[in-house]
Amino acid sequence: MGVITPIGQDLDSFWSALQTGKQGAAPVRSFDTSDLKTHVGCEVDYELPEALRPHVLGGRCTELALLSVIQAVEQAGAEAQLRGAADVAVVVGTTMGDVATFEQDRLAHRERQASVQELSSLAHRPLDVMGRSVASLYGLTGPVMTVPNACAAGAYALGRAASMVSRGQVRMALAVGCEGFSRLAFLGFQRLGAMSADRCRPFSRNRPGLLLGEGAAALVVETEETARRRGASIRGFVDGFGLSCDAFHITGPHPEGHGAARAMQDALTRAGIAPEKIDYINAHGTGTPLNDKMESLALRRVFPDDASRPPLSSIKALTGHMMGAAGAVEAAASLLALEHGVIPPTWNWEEADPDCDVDCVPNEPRAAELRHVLSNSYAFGGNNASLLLSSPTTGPS
Amino acid sequence: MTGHWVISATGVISAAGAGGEALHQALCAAAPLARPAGDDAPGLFTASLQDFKAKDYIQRRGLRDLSRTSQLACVAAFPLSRGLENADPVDVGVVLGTGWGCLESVVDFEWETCSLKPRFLNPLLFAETVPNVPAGQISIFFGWSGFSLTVSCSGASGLEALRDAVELLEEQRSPMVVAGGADAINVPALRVLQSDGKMASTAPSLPMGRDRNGIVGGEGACLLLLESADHAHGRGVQPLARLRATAGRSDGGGDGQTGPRSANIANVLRELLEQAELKASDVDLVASSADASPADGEEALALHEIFGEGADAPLVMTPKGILGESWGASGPLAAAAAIECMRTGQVPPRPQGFVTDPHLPPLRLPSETTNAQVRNAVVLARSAGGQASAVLLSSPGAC
Repeated sequence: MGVITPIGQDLDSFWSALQTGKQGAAPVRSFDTSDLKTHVGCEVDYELPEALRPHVLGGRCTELALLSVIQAVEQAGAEAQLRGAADVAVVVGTTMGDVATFEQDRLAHRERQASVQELSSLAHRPLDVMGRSVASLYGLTGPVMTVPNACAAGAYALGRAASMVSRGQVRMALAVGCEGFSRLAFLGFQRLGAMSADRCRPFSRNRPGLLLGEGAAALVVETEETARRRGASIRGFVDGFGLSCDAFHITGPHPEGHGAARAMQDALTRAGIAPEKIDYINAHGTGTPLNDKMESLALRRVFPDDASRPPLSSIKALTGHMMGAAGAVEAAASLLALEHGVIPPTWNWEEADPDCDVDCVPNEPRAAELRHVLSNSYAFGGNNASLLLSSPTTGPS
Repeated sequence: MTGHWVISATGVISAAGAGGEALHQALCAAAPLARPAGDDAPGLFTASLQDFKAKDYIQRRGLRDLSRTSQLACVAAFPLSRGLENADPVDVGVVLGTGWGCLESVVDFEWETCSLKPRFLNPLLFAETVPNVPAGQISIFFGWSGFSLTVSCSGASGLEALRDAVELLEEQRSPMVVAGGADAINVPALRVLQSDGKMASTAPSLPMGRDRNGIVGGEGACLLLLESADHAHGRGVQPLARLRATAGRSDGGGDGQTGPRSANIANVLRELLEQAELKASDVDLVASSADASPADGEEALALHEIFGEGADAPLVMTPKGILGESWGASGPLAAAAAIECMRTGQVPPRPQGFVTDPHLPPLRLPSETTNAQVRNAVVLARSAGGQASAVLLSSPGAC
């Protein structure tokens, strides 16, 4: 797997940042925020290797996706297996796709509507451009799938990729979640009253809201048999992928968390793992009053026994909400937690909230024997996804 | 595919109006629906729904603020909802394909951010910029809460959605899936394609025809209700068709300009037939994805390679000759048209004004509506990015 995030641009630096509480938040650099209410976001400073440029069919989102993919493929030692393959799938999750170039082009001409030339930077970068770029990089001729399921898209990508592999449709899949920092998303979330002005404080009383972020993560998915045959180091197992839909509100979650609970239960059922076997939950945990309350309620619904309810934490306190990338980055964080036996804490937590009566592992990494982890992702449209990931030493369910 | 999956209802809205019957009638009438797009887009030809308002089809509040794509999607879903009043909402999932993913809302919202103070921005318009919102609106409007998945693969989005729906059924995520595609006329994107020289400069511009000179913009939504044959039987529902096989693959990235090569399309067709355990000669009808672009030649080559020519070759229809290119909706609309051909035993002719292109391999595009028993139909879709996708439908009698 590979990650590129506001707090680390490879697995080691990312994991280290999760342990030390390195903040991704900084004054926004991509555009002028002086006329806005908030000015802080979680952006990534990166350099694109020249060799990658010919494969970048899109813009910033595509670049982030490719940077995460080359890390993942190198780390998995899978390049020889990928090159020119017809039985390798690319599954990409994103929210806004590659809108950043359009946004940048427009900044100089805000007094008039978009010209055809400006529109072309949008229309020439449709939602499937990240997937096509990844396919181009390795000459892949298998299925290329884009699941633009908003803030749950990264989890959807990994879940669908795992499904395609386990069904034998493809030998291997590259699951990618990616998002570029978007002015439109920044303004939109601000208008919804969902943004924090300084830091993101998931599960904390008086939490003000989310911080917008950007980034990407890629995971190489294959069967255990294929991985062992080629001598690959297994980072973890995708044991369950749960889905549900709130069918309630287009931008807000169901306040009682029914859909979120159903997605977690679905993942558990599909994995054949009892709730008490779950050791940790990587929360969606956006830091908005509604989400964290809802997720806490959902957790109590699925794990009603106070004594055996697993701890949960949100890394969005540091990374911000990377939208389409979030589910994939958080799956990577969950796998690293399994590997290291350490729960990344919820940083920036200040005060207990009676609406969030859960153990959110505040401000201090916690050593724990981790075998099975749930990673939750929720999105506009009431889309809920939960991934059940297991330790390589525990083995698949 | 491991199951015995059937289509038990269709919901259709296109430039031809609402319903599969209207669609089939328009195709059989063979009169292209393309018109000059008007002052918003001079020089463009589009086949659009004139004066479309979702409330004319669904008497429910809350539709007016939705994007046109979301409205089309909800209108297409409405007929399906009438057969599902007694279904447990959790038992119905939604998979929607969209090529442009509310791009027009992105452009509109961006303009709002330039012309209004931040506190006056329309939060509903922001929501509609997010590509999975049309599927979410369907779920909310009809209460279907099994799951919601959005798929985007340009012109192949709708058939890719059907493929994913089958996979989700096979994974037993819900016993029924409402699946298909939706895309509205998207003037900003069409203006860009026009400047790229991809849009028709005169009408009609007929797919596979000698005088084709580019794409006519279309719009619509089409949703199919998928379930197992046993489940449909248990509900007392007579299937309209069997969804017998699905296939799709990409060209390896593609340039986003030319669409899949003929070899890729031919491979997808071979995979489809193999999966369905059918011979090429078992196929009675092909619903082509030809859109009057140069890429039609690649599709014609592939169809000729797989199905040959002469009386044994399947009849070919080109729905986009009448409806234009409606991206995410195109594949499912062609599937709905194929189902109507099975039901009526009538295959639409090539569009009026069609002149055979001597440079393309010969295909059986009938010159008039043809009575034919359609047992098996192949529906094709392709994306500008090099994806070829296909589904194979069988008539209920062949199930």
